[in-house]
Amino acid sequence: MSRYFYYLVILNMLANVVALVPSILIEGRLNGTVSSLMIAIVITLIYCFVFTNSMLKFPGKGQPEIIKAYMPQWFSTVYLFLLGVLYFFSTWFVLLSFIDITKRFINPELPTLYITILFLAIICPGALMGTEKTLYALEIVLIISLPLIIGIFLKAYINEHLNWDAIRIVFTHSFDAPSIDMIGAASYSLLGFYYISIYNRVLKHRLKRLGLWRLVLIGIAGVVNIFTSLLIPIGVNGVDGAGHYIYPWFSTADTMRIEFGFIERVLFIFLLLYIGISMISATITCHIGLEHVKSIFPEIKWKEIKIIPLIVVTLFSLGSILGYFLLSQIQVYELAKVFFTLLLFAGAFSCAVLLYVVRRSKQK
Amino acid sequence: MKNLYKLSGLFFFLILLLSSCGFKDIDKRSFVVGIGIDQLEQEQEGYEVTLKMAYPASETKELGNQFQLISAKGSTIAEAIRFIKAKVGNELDFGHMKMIIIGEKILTKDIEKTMDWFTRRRDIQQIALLSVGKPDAKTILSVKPKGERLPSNKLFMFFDETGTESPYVTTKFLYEFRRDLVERGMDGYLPIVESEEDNFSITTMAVIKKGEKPLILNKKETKVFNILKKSYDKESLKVNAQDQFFMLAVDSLNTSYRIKDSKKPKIKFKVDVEGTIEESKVKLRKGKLDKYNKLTEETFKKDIKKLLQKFQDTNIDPIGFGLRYRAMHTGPEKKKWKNWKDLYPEIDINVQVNAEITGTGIIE
Repeated sequence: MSRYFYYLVILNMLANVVALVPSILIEGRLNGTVSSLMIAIVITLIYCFVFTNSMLKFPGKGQPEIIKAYMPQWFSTVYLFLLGVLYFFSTWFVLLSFIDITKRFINPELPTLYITILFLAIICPGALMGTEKTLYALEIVLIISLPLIIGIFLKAYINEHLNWDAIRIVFTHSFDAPSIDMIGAASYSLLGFYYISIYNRVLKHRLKRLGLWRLVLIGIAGVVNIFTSLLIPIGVNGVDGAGHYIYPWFSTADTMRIEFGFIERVLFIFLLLYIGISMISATITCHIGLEHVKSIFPEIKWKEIKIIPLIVVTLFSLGSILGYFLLSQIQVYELAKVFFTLLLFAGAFSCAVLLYVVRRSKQK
Repeated sequence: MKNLYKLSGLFFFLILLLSSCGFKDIDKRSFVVGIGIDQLEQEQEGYEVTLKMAYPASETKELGNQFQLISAKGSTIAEAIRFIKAKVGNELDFGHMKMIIIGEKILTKDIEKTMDWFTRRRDIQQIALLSVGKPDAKTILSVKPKGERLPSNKLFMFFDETGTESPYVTTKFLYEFRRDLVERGMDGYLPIVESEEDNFSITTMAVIKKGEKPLILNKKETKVFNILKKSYDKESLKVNAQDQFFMLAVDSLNTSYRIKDSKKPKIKFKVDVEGTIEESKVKLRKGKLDKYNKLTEETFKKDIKKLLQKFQDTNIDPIGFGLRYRAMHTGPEKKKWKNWKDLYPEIDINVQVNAEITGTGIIE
């Protein structure tokens, strides 16, 4: 079993624990969050099982090749393009929230344009790298930050000022009606398995089949992750007060202290770790989006440089810069809700497409 | 290809240089270590803000005296800070501000409005320590205790439990206080700092409810409160009854409470205490430990019950019974909260103390 597959799943869990997903979950904390979370996890695990195992039937092949081989041309062009756009959107959300976080918590005097360009300068060349190389970058980032992040999560749980009564109040609303916004947001943090659609190219023969036990393990990690991201801010900031924060997790990190650490305020360590996680997550989603979009265009070379990826990345960069200036924080938040919900249906559709492809490949 | 990379590298490096205006050198900054908020005497609206500023120095001798106090008046805290900025040549840096002192008179005002500035600013630590200054905050900030290594360091040591650990000192972090102000079912409390010539004296506390007059607890009540709230076990209890007089040094102390929701609801408060006798004015007998246990239980029970009833009579709830009630029941929060508000003034409080004296010290 390849560890890289788990890296991708874990990366997506961690990357979405801080910015938009917890805000959406905390907003509905007294309206059936728990039931929404459970539904989201079940749905996503089914998607994960179907999607991953279908992809693994084609060792060494990415989704674009598979779709192109078994589907009519018009369908594969439209389908792959839309998928690419979705991946770019998720990059864009990570980027946007991190630009905002940088501006709010690190340096408010830094002009937004510079921050955007700085981040894009890391993400875009990263996305243009080879598929295998992005995986190595991911491994380095995770090895450095994962133990520290787990440490911070544990520290949050053993904080004596954590109010368990406030957390219990959330559970008294377990059986309230779930809402589709929250299901979408909660499932988003578990969608890391989709990354296999491109990374299957380099995972060949390392990964045979995703068994039920491994699925259960992923499910447990997902449950722990999403509940941590929902409950710790509520325990620290109060069940009535948690909703007031724009970035609940950064405000929560600021309430932790390591008296005898080198830096007393955990916030700064947390920010540093999450810049790394967000950057690599944005790079990988951008890379996948790029590969999808690239596959529908013929290869054009100019002085031996493949020009299509460059054009796509430039367009994406321009789009992100414009997006930041055109949309307000609240509009982004509402857009994210729609996007997460849309992904729920997109997931069902793409699983169906893949199942169909698997059937056709057997017939041939 | 190589040239392109080099060129883009240079370009981004230049952009990095442009952002330098956000940072100011350390010798051009004044580090605020403490802030005091007082009420204006003449007018109703407005604050007098006092900042205690430390100056960076190269040698690390006793720097406790090297500070500057600057105060200014303004209709809001932010305005007063602006005035202070006009009095100091250096850039104010709030990143190291760990002590917030609120003048006693502010407590009668709408405290939530006063706290707003602190929670909104990104550069103020959420782990800053809060306390009430008596008679006002400025007096407390101007105290120069002996042997202080850094300005305000003595106060930090009182509260963050790295220095002294006293049963009379309550600790409150900024995020906790904010949480308690917003939370329905839990009220905030703050320690009261008084100045005694060159020293501080922290023996009492104030319980604060939004929009109501604060309840000031005396020394004994403060001590009992710390036992109830934090299970504070570095403690000695005075037992004075039936011609016996001894002090009990507590080794371990556990508190727990339950709300029984039967026909006649009641709060069951349970305290387990274990310890040895530290000082006695009458001769003690080993065989009579059972009797001493009973005496301790009775004395202690009376104190606790008195304090809890005082909270109940003033309709203030710093222990968080209301929050526990909310955590125990399902249904809409508004309804739960209304039920609790009706229930609290009439609920029975049942205190149970189990004392176990393990010895009489090294003499009989």
